[in-house]
Amino acid sequence: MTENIETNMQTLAQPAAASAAGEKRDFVSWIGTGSLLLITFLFAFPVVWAALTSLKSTASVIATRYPLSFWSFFPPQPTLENYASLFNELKFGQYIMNTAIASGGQVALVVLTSTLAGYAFARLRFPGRDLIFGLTLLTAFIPLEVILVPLYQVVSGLGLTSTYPALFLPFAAQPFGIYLMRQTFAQIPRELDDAARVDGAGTWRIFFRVALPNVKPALATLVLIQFIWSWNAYLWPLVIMQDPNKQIVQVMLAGLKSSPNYSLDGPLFAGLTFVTVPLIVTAIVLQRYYVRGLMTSGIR
Amino acid sequence: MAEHYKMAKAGKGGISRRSVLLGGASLLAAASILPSRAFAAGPGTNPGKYKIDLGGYTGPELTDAPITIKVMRQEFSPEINAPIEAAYTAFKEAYPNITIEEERVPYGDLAKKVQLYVASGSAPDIMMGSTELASVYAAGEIAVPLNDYFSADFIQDIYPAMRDAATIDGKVMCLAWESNSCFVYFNRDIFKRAGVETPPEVTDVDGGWTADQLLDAMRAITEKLRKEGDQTTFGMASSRFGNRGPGSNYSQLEGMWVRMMGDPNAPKDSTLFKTFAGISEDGLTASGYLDTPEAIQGMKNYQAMFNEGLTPKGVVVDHYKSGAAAIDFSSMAFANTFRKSGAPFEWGVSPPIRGNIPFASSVADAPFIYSGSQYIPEAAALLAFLLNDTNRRAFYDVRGSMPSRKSLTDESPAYKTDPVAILCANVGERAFGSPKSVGWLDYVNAVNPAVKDIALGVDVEERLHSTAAQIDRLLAKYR
Repeated sequence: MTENIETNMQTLAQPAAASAAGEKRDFVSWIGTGSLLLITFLFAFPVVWAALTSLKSTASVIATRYPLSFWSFFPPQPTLENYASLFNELKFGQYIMNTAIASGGQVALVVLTSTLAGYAFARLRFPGRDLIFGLTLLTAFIPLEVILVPLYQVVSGLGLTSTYPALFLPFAAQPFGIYLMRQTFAQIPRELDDAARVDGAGTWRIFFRVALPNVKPALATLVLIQFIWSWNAYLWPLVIMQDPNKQIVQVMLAGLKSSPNYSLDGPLFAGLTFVTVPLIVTAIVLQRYYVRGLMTSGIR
Repeated sequence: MAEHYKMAKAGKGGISRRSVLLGGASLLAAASILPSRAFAAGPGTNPGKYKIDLGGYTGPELTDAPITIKVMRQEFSPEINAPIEAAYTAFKEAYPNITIEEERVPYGDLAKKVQLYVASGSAPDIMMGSTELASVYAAGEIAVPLNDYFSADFIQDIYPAMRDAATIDGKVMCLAWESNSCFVYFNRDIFKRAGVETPPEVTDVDGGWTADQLLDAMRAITEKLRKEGDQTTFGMASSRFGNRGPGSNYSQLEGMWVRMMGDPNAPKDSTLFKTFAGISEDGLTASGYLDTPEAIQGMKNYQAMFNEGLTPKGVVVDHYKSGAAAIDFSSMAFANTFRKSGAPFEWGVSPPIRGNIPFASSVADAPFIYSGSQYIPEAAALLAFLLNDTNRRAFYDVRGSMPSRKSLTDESPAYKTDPVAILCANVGERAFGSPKSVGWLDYVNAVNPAVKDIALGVDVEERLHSTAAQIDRLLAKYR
């Protein structure tokens, strides 16, 4: 009887405990969601603010910037004149095109070298393989600033100054990309290679027909990361691209703030907004693969 | 009619053969004199000597061989770039064998690029530098002394402060591009709201406020505004120089608080002179110069603005232009911006602040010719062309800055009638260059953080002593 009562009480108590646990879970979940929203807001805020500010005239940007008020963020009289000025007077389209060429060239080259090198390091056996791989990784720790002068001398000596290849050739081999692809290729079962070899496939055929189709998520990750990196590059293009007509958009935008007393704040914000669009679009398109790529490559 | 004919024939009241001949001869003489009078070769023009007006250039005629001259300068907005590009076009029409390649970089990256190019041994023929780095150019033999390629008149025409700053051991290392000497701008509306008297609106450089008067006025303004509940308007604007905020630009801005406490005319062994000098005569010792009692007092005045909340410790972008600060320091820039785009408040100008002397910096962007250039005469000629009267007028018209050459301000009506322009010219005349040192970059790299620390509240005396000692150590490598 006593046991029954206890059992009944336990039975009665279970929903209450479950409810309490559920509430606790809800609370934790709510805190988690709230934190994520807050972080998202913090990251998105500069972009949204720049986009809204790009709809103000330069005079309005200066007049409403300080002290902070509602109008510091929202345009009192939205206008697209900054975008018109950007494209008509400041030849923004040309700079965007230059940047697209530089980024496209770099992404293509890095994907090519990273997949080939990554495959070789992961699947082929040759003397000194691990040592070379280790040395390759070490180059990731050398800042660009340290090698800027010799790099400039080499590229300049080759007569490549102010050419598009100069923007991406020195960065054709990226240690991160090689590492990412090596880790990914290493996870493909060797039995697939063996089966292909039994069918008469050589190394190149196995690379193109067997290995590459299995690393698409990692490739997408590489494309995304490399695109962001090259699209945002500043120091090297500043140094090597001396022809103003071939300069990239990031340097051009910095030039708009070149003379503080004659600032072009409106077009600057329009430009900043515009250059983030390709990054956002690429990230949205590739985000599914990006997550999978990082998960499967062992990089977390 | 017949009467007139008779008189003419008799030589009375009419046109005789003799008068016609005399008149013709006079006209011919006048015609030969007039052009040389009307287009007299002043310091910035040399008509007829070369294929085009190469201004102050006195070097040999340029090569006929096809060559390329590279120029690097800061980026401007399109309307300011336009006259420079037009000048290139005109130069190329006269010398079609000379190709000009121009590189434009964001202003903040200019020094970085110059360093990189020089380090790599492959630099553009003409680069935009700064008068404050003239000692560095001379010591490193980076720049070509320009006295051999420019007339003495042309060099003499540059405002003395900018010319002296660019001259090392009698050699001119770079040519000031425009004047940026600062004076006081104030917001009349804020002064009115606070019931505080505005600073003197005079064109005499000696007629401005003292540092104490400035501090008292800002205290009064801040107290009144805070009592009204206004927590966002300040007496002094946040610095818009360099990276902005305190410690952003000792050369052009914060150094004035120290150097105004000195006196260039005091005996050389006095602390007054040393305070003004900022560094020993050989340019290698800061102790005893940067940390004199007068310098410490100057930096205490500077610190008071932050300690008492008269100016923000952080960065406020466009603080003065937004109408949220009573006072700021600027050259002609604000005046031209306000006149062009309209100001959101009533504004006025006053001479620079005074300590023992009124102090304004003469630091100016200044192009120089790279010593490794293969085409030095041609580079000098191109630079001279860019700096001739016509091209400079076109540049200043759109840029709105003050010319670096006196003959150009003298000929401009604005510098005779506009009080802001007159004050600007007077300040330019009386401004001072940076202390000359081969280690000037080390100096400012050490002193800028010290200024920031002082603004944030550290002990002024201790910080100036330790900074001076640090600079001594940094400069030891040049001994």
